[in-house]
Amino acid sequence: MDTLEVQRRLVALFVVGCLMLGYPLLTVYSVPQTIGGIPVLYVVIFVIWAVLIGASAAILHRATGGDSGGA
Amino acid sequence: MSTTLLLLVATAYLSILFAVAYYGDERAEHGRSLVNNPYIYALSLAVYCTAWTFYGSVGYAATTGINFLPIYIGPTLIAILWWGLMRKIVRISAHQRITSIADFIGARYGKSALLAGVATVVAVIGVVPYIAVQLKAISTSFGALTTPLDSTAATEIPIWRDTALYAALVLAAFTILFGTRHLDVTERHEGLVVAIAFESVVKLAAFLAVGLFVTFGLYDGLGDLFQHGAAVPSIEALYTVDASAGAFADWMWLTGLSMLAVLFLPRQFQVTVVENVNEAHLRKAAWLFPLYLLLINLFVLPIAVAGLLHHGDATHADMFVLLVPFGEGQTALTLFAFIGGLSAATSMVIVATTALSTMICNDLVVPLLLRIPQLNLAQRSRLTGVILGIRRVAIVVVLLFGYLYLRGLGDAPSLVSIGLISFAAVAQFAPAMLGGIFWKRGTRTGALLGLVAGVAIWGYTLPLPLLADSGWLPASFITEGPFGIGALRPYALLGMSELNPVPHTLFWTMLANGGLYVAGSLATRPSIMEQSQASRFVDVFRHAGPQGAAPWTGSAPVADLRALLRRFLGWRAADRALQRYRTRHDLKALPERADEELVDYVETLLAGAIGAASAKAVIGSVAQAKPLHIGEVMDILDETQQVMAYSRELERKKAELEAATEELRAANQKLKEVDHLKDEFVSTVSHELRTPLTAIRAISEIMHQTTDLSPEQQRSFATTIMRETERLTRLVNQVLDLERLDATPVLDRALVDLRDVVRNALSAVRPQFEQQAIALNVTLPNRPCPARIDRDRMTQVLLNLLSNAAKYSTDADPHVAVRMACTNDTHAVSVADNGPGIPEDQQEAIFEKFRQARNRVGPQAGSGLGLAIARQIVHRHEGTLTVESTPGEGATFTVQVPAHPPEPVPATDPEASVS
Repeated sequence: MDTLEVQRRLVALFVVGCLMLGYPLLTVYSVPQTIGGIPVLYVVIFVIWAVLIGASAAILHRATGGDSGGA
Repeated sequence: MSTTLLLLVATAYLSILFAVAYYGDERAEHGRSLVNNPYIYALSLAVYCTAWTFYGSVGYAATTGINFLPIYIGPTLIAILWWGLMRKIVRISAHQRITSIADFIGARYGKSALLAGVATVVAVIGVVPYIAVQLKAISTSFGALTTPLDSTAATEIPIWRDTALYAALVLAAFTILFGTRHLDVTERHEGLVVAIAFESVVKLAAFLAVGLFVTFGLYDGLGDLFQHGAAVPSIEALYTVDASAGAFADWMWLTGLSMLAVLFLPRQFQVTVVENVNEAHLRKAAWLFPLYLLLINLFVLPIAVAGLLHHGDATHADMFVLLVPFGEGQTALTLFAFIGGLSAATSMVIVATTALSTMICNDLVVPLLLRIPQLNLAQRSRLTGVILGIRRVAIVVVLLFGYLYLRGLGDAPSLVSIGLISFAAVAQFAPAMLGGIFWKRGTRTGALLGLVAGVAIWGYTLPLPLLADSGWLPASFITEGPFGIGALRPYALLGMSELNPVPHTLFWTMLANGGLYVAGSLATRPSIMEQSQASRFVDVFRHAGPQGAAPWTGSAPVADLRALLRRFLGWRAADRALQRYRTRHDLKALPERADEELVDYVETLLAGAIGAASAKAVIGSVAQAKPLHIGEVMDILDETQQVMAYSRELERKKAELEAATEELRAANQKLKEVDHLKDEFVSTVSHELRTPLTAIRAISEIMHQTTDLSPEQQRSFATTIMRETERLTRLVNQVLDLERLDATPVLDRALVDLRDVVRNALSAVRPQFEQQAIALNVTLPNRPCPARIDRDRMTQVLLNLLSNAAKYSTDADPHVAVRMACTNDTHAVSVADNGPGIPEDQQEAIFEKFRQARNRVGPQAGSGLGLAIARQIVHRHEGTLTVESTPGEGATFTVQVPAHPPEPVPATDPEASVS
């Protein structure tokens, strides 16, 4: 995958991340219920966070080289 | 817990830290770098997590729930874009040998010393409070374990017993040792980075240990802990976000702010950009760093909940990380947590101080010293020591400044709020930095205006009200505004009271900063230096390596450059660097005079040691700038300009082609006309030749067939044949004449008196006039009329006019008037008859070839070529031949030729005196 393609995917991931961890989607998770005793909000945020990290790692490691291409 | 034990542990930890740093430097010296490793690099980035994270997050979570998270979610999100964004900054900085964020901004905008200086001041006033907070965290954590909780505040401790002061001094020593060991052209500090990475491991391990102990030692897992908390309504409220839109607005603003902070905090810039040895490391760091942030935040809320459950309220929430295990009698764990907090605080202080001291030295002090001519700094023999000295002093000053800030501020604001104030300060770099790497048109003026305006509003809306909180200013300053002006209330500018202080500041500063940056950039033209740097920054990925020298760099004696390098880098490093240049360029020896490329190389090396702006000034003292040829700049400066030049060339060629086509079209048109005229001419000439031929032939046939012709008749026929033959000869002669005139435009011109020409012509025609009884009236001027003319040709013209006049003198009392008028400019000769005249619509036509033959048939009809020839001759003399006529009253032909300028001394020209 060339650098430009990697960057397109990273930008898309960034936008998804901003939406998932931002207002107003946060209000959806901000409920008094719990999952196994842990508040839903807490679980959801950390899960999304972990998924974002995993996804960006997956995209970045498919990037070839790293010495060409523009931002 | 005893003070002695704590001091012992702290000393032991710091000793280990010294050892680690020393080991890192040793490895680097022997070429087995530890830093060339993506994991060490990613861990060093975790310097982002300070005492604010270690202690402050728990405190903040205990009062506001998950609102501590945006500070870590922001960096996580922006790290996704690092591969594009940060890699670009890293690449630019490697090419330009950038030493700090202030240096980066200064270098981008034409290596401006002023801009770098302003950025340095902003960084210092923004970051010093942050350093103060770390010192405070160290002393508070120390106090929390050694003195009863509700004892006196830190400010009342006498200064010699203040742990914060000793912490500051020890950290100054560490930073001086590992941050300024040697002056390096890359400004990298391997030992320091290794130590920071080590500290990141320690603080993460300590925090996780406390978290695991709280979750699994005190409770039965996370679910159990949260359920215990849910029993208390004030704790359960932390599990959700306050439903008001304001809380979410804060969330979004803080996420955005922390994105900017992780990019532009001086210490982050130091570890991410300056200390980067390989940009490929960013690939791993871009997800390892967020993973680190996730791990260190995992147990923040659980520890906060447990702390609240154990202590009942949030008064000492900032110290829950220590107090919870301490309260459970876990001495070892408490000590580990203390070490973790210490490592978080010290790592931040060490890196921030190193970054600030580099900035202060390179972008503030050295440029100022270079400007003092008495010091003659650039001419001194050894400057390495001077520069390192400046940096060491700067480190001590920054730390003492931080300490004094801490003493002056007291303990009013929390860890988090001071941290956010620093974040908002460094966010002011965002327009100049982001614009600088993506927008070529950004100018120095725009960056300067934006930065100054942003910082001014920041200062007014965030740190200044703190002075009111601490009692340095009246409280009414916040509630009613200065001098009671409500619109100037620092937390509600223009009455905007919806936002909390930090988002409020961020909104106004970004509006003013970004707006002025764009407006100022568009209102000014970048200098050539700015344009060149803009292209080097924005288009960094388009070029394989550091770009060649700018064409105006100029040349300098190599000896001078070597001396400069030795002064600033030391002998060994300087000689090594020049050796490298020789090897890279495959040179046997360096030339006596350095070309642009070598000068540029040396300047970049110096920039690594003393910053771009100072390096430019120093190089300027030895390099002889080449006079700038605009053509060179056009060629090399900018690719787009090259393209523009090409397109201009095309444009020009196209215009030339169009003009040529137009000329061709006109020529073709003229050719067609001439061709048409030629056809007409040939047909007319044939017609003219046929008339006499027909007559001759008819008569000859009669004479041939009729044998009994009387002698009179024979004579009469012969006369007709003779006349017609004469007419033929004349016609052929005139045609030849006309052709000759067309072919050879050369006139045999000489200076003559025009009166003589007229007299000659008159004497030639006088017999004919007398024969026809035409009265001739001649008026000639008294003085000579010199003109440069072809005498014979002009005579021919006059003869033609006179014989025409005679030919058309059909009046009962014919007379012809010849008048001559001479001025200094022109001479005019007119011949007037009183014949039938020429109708107005024929007056131009008579000058055309054979016109007369068709339209004016008279008893002595001529060839019809005479006037055409006459006019052509006059035109060759730059003169005019015109006619005026009233039908029935005669015609007047006028020849006008330019006069020869009168000679100053008439005697010198014999021709002129002829009269």
